[in-house]
Amino acid sequence: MTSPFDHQADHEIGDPLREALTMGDEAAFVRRVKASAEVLFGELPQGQWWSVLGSWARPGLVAAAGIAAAALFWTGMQAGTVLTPASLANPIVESAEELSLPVWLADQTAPDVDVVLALAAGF
Amino acid sequence: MSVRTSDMQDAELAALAAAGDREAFGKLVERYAAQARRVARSILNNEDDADDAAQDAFLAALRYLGRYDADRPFGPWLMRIVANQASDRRRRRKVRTAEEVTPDIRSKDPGPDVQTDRVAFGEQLRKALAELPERQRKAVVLFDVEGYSHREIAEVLDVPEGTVRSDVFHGRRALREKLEAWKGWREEVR
Repeated sequence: MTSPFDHQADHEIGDPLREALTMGDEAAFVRRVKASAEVLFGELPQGQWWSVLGSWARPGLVAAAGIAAAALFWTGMQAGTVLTPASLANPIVESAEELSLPVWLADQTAPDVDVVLALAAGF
Repeated sequence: MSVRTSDMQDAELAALAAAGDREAFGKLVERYAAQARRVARSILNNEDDADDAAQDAFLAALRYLGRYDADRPFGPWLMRIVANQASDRRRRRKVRTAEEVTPDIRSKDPGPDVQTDRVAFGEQLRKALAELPERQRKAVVLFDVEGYSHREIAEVLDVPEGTVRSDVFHGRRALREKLEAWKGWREEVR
């Protein structure tokens, strides 16, 4: 005998009930639903798939940013120094000071990307 | 693509289907067709109506997939739609389920054949089920047939978990009583 607090399905009732309720020709039913859905697929509001995928991507992007930040912090700890925004910016600033715009324009070799970005950012 | 969709979780398929992927939607239909039809049939007690309700439920699900919370299981979300569609249909057509199937267990002779006996047993089960109050019926089928938890069923039916436990208990007891009576009669006529 079961109690109201049972957490398990009662197979003595469930199995024959399943058999009694199961209907035949499932493939035909699936085909019928798919055919009906064709109309709906044509009516799906434009842009809906962007919003759905966007909402799905957001948690992933947040997680990726978190992992990247943790990795950066861990790398800094491994090197014996904790990287700060200032310490990240310093090498760029120093490079920018060494390469002023006129000097950079007169240079024959291709400039470093970091230097170009630093100049563009106003360092 | 078919290899990939067959391995995908429901939530992934739901996202793809919402994005217009027909194959992903088809996969979800294949996964839940049998379950949706059983749940609908348990409410409507009619195969054609059950198929219509289950189909409407799948189409409604497709329409509202954007509202599905991918952090929660897909099955209960879909079964809620199925149950609502079936209940609405039942109300609309003013189903006389209980009156139609008032069991007169002595009115039919299942015959000596085993297959006939099984068919008759299934019929008696459906009749016994149809006599239960609708919410009890849903609770028993979702718990004992489809394997959902009390908590999930509470979400499907929008009632407290304790109510689901009570419905499952009382539904089972009523079914047992009717089936025992039918079995006793079968033993007598043999």
